[in-house]
Amino acid sequence: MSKREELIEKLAEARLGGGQIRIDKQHEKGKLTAHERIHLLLDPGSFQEIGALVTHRTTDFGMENQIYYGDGVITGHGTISGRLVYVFAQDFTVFGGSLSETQAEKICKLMELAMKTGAPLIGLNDSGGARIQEGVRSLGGYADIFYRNVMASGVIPQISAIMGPCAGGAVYSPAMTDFTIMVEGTSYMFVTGPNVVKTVTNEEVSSEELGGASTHSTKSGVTHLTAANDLDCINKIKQLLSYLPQNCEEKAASLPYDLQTEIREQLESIVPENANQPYDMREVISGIIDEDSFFEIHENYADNIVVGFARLAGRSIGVVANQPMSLAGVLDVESSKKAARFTRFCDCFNVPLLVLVDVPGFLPGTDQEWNAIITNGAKLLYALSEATVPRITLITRKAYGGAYDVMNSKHIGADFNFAWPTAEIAVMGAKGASEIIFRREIAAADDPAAKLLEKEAEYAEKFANPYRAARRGFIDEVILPKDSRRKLISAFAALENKVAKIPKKKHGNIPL
Amino acid sequence: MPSQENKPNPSDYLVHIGERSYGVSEADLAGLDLIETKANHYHLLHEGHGYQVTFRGTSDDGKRVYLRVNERDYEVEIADAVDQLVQQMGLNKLNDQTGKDVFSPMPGLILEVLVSPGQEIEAGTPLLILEAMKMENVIKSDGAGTVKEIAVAKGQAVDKRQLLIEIE
Amino acid sequence: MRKILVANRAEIARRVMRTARRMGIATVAVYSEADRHAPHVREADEAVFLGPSPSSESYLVMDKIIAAAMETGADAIHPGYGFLSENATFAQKVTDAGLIFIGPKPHAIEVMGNKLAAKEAVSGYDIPMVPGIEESITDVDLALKIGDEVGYPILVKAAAGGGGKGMRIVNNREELPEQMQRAISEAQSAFGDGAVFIEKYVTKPRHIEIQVLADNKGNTVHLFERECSVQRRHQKVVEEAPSAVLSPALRQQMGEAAVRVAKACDYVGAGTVEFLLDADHNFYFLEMNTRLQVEHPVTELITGLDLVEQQIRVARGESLSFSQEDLSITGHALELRVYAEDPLDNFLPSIGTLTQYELPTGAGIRVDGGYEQGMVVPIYYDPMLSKLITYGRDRDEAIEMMRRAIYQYRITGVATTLPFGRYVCDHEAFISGNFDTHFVKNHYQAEQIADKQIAEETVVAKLAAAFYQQELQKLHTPKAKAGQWLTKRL
Repeated sequence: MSKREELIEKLAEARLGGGQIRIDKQHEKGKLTAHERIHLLLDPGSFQEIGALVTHRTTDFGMENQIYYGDGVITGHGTISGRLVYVFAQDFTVFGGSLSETQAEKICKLMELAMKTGAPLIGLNDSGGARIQEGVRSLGGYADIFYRNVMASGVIPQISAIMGPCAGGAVYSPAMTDFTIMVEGTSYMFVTGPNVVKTVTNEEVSSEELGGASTHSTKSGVTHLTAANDLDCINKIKQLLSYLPQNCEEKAASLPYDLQTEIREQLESIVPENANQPYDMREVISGIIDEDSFFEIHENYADNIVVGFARLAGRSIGVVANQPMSLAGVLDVESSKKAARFTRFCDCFNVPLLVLVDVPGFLPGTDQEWNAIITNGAKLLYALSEATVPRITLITRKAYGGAYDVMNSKHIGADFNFAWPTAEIAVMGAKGASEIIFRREIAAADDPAAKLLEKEAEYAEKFANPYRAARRGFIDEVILPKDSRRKLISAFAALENKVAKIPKKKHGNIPL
Repeated sequence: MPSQENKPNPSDYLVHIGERSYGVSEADLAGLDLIETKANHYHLLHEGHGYQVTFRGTSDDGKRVYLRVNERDYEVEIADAVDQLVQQMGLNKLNDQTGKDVFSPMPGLILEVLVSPGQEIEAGTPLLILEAMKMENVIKSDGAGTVKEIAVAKGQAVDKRQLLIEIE
Repeated sequence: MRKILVANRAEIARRVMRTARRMGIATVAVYSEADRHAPHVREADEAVFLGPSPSSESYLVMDKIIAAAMETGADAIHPGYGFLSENATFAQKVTDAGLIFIGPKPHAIEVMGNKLAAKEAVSGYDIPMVPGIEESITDVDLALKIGDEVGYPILVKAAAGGGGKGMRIVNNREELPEQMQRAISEAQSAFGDGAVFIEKYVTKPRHIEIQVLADNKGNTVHLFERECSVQRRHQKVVEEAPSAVLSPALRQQMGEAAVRVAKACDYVGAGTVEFLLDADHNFYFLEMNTRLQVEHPVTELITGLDLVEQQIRVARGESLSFSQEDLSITGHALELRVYAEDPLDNFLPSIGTLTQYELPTGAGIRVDGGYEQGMVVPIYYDPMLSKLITYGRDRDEAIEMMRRAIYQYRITGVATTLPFGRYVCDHEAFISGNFDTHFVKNHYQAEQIADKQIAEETVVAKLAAAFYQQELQKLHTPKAKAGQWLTKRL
């Protein structure tokens, strides 16, 4: 065999991963192979593999006889819509994708390249866990990756797709990246599996129930996105990436957009006459943003707040919005955490923020207090306060009490604050306020109920509107709903070159 | 699930032109007598026939090829081996909620609704009459089932692929 | 006549306006909601909105159209074809409103619009009719007698009939009693009335029509024939002039018969007399169309006359400026109706947006159309996109030009009858002239069109894959923009 032929043969062998039988098994499970996933993710012909001929160094347990080129992970760079990205994809056909010392080395090498060049890192996870035969060397490999995840955090966008098992220590790498997306039915994530759970706590639980995509997208919020299958997952990664910049020094690319009048009549009829009637804040969002441009994050988790990326006249923005359809849009532990994390991501990567407000306050109760609504509510307050990206607020209806302050108020550094004529900016609702202010007067009345109604009306007349706040300049402009898109496009354009600095510090201490 | 036998040869392409698909193998491509006459202009000799060919580029993702063959424009979609695998595995279909529901095959006016909710129907049962360009087209059921809901009314204008009748 | 309102849409509206403009006459278009963007609206000097898209609420509303004419000061109305063109009431209303109706008198429209009245009107004029009986019978002996008179094969059809029920083709005398019994019993059970008509069955019929032109002074001429036998769903698709099978003597015979039909109803203007021609070249009167026909361009090309101009001149009260002896046939013309229909799928309407729409051009090619690239073919009207007409020195040349014109005609977005036209032009039966109204049934195989397309597309597929591979093998690197990463990180 000539030296040329030898290389060609080696590369062909590497290309086959764990062999045709295992590839077929992967397909039978409805999963694509690592090569196929990368092929679909990247622009045709753009992938350049790094370390295809790497093999493990283990000699225990007969491992020296089982050598596969690549050692269970494919690493390299390529482009998505012409943009440079670094990608690794674990190959389940090789030792179940288990993480070896050499596999970790390949991933770390890739992460360092991504950090040095300011390019996003995408990890396609499909691994049974640590390479047990390697012992602590495998564990060390994990930690090497975790450490680099943290170093890269806030420097380059990191996206983790879970496209198969991801258990034990492996879960902490995705957990430290910016976005996690899980494939329904074929992926799961947990620190300890059902068997250990049963031994320790006596709970009977399936893998899917314990850590499947639906569990983590609704109950725990561990995953930001779910996908119906591998292809859907890859398409969603591409879509997500389109809203993000390459790194923390750059801005996301805008799409070309021809400005028209930008009046949206449909916004006029969304907020109901009756202040106690809910409406869908997503209708307000879609009424404001470019058609079909909303990419929602954490769609089924803490649904009293809606967050996601959108485009406004082609510009990528992050939207944080109270959802009156769910729990009247109240802030609670989960919704505060969800919105805070999203806000911080946008601030890291220069994505301007639009905050839509219809919030009656914080959720009362022992459950909330004992679960530290104070600390968790503070996360959102902290995250918004420290954000230096362009920040715009639009109050559609209620902005009551402390929640008014938290939801990107003027006082915590919002650049533009708008309100619709239906806005009610007050310490609390008219009924509660009257009960306190006019307690004595009401108690002394012949008909306390009638008196309360009278006082309630008096209070509402005075405070349940945006004009008091507008007089003080807490609201910059009260606008007609149909003009919202016009106003917001022009406000974001005016903030395009915003520079804001926070005091020099090592890093702030967000209430974790 | 695909077995070894029907797995596409990785060098095979499935080329979609309009509603038809054509398999093209690596060997087919090797056998093409194609010469470039000037930039992006080619002459093909194929089975004794000459073809004037202009290559007009591809879509951003490379999967659509635009070309002109003998003065005729074509927009062609290429499915490579992985695309074909994705199709075979059904990954390109997100959910199967379409079921047996009846969609409008063309834009038109609903002239008559011939069934009512709850009615049992068989394959071939006339469901409604759709008028398009002065022609009355009888829309028939593809399979047996029960009419769940009628989504249109007599006299209503419908678009292509609009849901007409839900069938359980 | 200074201003004409054209009570029609699409190609025929544009066609009429073209001649009007050339004659220095102003034009008024009318349009429905669906047609606001149509070229006929833009090309008119004035345009009046009629109403919603369905023709019953727009192009068929007589009072709105007449009001539009009054409002714009038009002094004449041209009805085109279809819509209100053969509506005697409309013609009357137009006249009553003090406007000129560019077409025959209401009386002629009415008589020729009714089959029985038409037969009666022409009965004294020596016009050959399909032999048969006028009244319905149930008596077999009487049927046998009639059968002997008209000659076999004969057609037995239920008087109350429809949909082919109670209809029998009888090839000889022996079959008649039994076939007639069956026809009667079928008719009895289907319609509750067993009476049947008997008429001669015309085998291998060709559809030949004669264009006539008459002025107010009693001058009537014919402008020779058009062959319209290539039909689908009893509607014409390919027409030509002259016919490949008419001898000069037969042409003269039929032309004279057509003139007599026109005279029978005091016809004025341009009209068409339709005949069936059997395999033995006997011809029988079918009906008269009291309007300008879709296929009039082929006659224009071989006679050098502008039929719309002639209509307008007659309507203005002018006499014909030529006599029958002045007219002759020069060359050969062929017309293909380009419908938005799928010839591979039973000619079902194919509706959509014309994403590519490029017309063929060149000497001898004429396209009368009403659509442009980017337009949507509306669901409300006839799906005809255009008429593709070619003119050559002889029939072979006209056919060859049609082939080339079809090739140059580029339409994407909807399926059209262009491939069918190509099929006809390539078919031996059509080329030899040996075809009849059963052309589609006898000779047309959709698969052959499909096969041809598949053969072409197979080559295109290989080319596309080759280009795809060529692009793929090029080196792809990131489209590097001068980002701020480098400057800020230094």
